[in-house]
Amino acid sequence: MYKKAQGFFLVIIIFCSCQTSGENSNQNNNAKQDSIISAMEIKVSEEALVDIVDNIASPVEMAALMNRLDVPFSKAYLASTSSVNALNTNFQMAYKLGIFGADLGYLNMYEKTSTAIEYISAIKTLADELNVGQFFDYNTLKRLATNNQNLDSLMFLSVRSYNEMDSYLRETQRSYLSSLMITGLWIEGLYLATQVASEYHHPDISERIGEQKIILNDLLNVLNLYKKDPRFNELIQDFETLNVIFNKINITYEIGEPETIEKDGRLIIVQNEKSIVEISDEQLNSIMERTEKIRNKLIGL
Amino acid sequence: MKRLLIILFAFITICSFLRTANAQDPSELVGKCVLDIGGETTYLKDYVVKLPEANTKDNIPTHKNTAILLKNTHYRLTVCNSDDSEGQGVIYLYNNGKKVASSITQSGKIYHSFDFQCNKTGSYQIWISFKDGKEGFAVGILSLVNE
Repeated sequence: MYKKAQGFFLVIIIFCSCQTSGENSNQNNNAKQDSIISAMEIKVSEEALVDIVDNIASPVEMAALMNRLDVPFSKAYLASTSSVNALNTNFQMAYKLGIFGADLGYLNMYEKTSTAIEYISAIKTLADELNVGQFFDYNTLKRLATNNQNLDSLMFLSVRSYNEMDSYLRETQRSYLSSLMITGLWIEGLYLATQVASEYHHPDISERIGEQKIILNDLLNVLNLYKKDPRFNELIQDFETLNVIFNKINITYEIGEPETIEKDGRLIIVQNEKSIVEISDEQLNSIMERTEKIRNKLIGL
Repeated sequence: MKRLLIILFAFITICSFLRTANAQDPSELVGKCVLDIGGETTYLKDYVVKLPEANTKDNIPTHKNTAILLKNTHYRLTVCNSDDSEGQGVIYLYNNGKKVASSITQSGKIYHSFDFQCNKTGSYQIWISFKDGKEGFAVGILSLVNE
C-alpha cells in the first residue's frame, strides 16, 4: 500500500512539473522540425537581442499617424491572405506573421473589423504552425471583430498577442523566428506608409518614413546575427540596398530641456529637444520603389 | 498512511496554487492596468516588474527596457502596483543617458502615469524601480495617446 502511495506521489510530482517539461518538449520538436539549422547553431546573447528587438517600433504608431492625418483607408495596400496555407517553412511563416500583424494594426486603427476577421484567421493559422497559437486568442478576437464592439479591447488583444508571441519565441531559443516576425512587421509598416506617401503628400508622413533610418539600422543588427543562413543572407542583402538610400538621409538634432506641466491632475512632459529629418523627393521615391520590391518579393508577388 | 494522504493533498493544493499564480497574476495586472490608463489611448507594450528589496540605498534594483519613441507622438507611461506590492513603482524615461521624464516630481509626489510629448525620434530607456528600494511587483504600460 505504501509503495502504491509512493508511486502515486511520483505521478503527481511529474504532473506538477509537466508545464515546464511540456514546453521543453515543444521546443525540441520545433528545433527538429525547423530547417534553419545554421541559425540554431549561432550563439546569440539573448540579453543583447532583447534590447535590440524591443527597440523596434510598433507599426501601430504609423497607422495612427495616417488615421490622424485623415488619410483614407485602402484595402489595396494590404497583403493577400490567400496563400497562407501554401507556406511550408518556418522562415516564410514567421515573416508573413509579421506582415499580417502590421496589416491587422492598420485595419484595427481604421475600425475595418469585417476585413480584420480574415487576417485574424490567417494569423491564427500561422501562429499555430509556429507553436505560438496559445498566445493568440482567436475566439475572443474574432468575437470582438464580428460584433464590431469594444474596439479598444480588439486593439489591445491584437498588439499584446504579438508581444507575447515575440517574447515566447525568444524565451524558447527561437529568436531567429522572432527577428523574422519583427522584420515582416517593419517592412509592411514602411510599405503602408510609402503607399500613402505616393498618393498623399504630407511632411509628417515623409518625416516618419525618413526616421525609419534609425530603426533599419537596429533591424540589420538583428538580422546580421543569422547571416550564415543563406535565406537570412539574402534578406540582409535586400535590406542593405534600402539602407544605402536611408544612409543619405540627414537627421539633425536641436537641443532643449524638457518642460514639466501638472494639468488637471495629470503630469505632462513636453520634450524640447527635437530631431529634424531632411528627406528629398528623390530619396522618398527611391525608398518607395525599393520598399515595394522587397515587400513584394517577401509576399511572393 | 493517513498522514501521507494529508501531505499529498497539501502538495497538490500548493502545486495547483503555484501554477495558477505563476500563469495568471502578471496578465491580470496588465489587463487591470490597461483599463486604468484612460480612454483615447492605444496599448503598445507592457513591462512586468518584480524586484527584490535593495541591499543599499545606492543600489536600488531597476527593471530596464528600451523602446524607440517617435517624434510628434504623444505617449503615456503608466505604472500599476500589485495589491500585495510593498513598494510603490516609479517609472523613468531616459534618452542617451539623460533623464527626460519620470512619474515622480521634484517634491517627491508619485503619479500613477505621465504623458510624454515626444519631439525626438530615437531610442529611449524605460526604467522602473520601487520607491526607497522596497520589494515590489508592478506592471508598466507604454501607450499611445490618440489625438
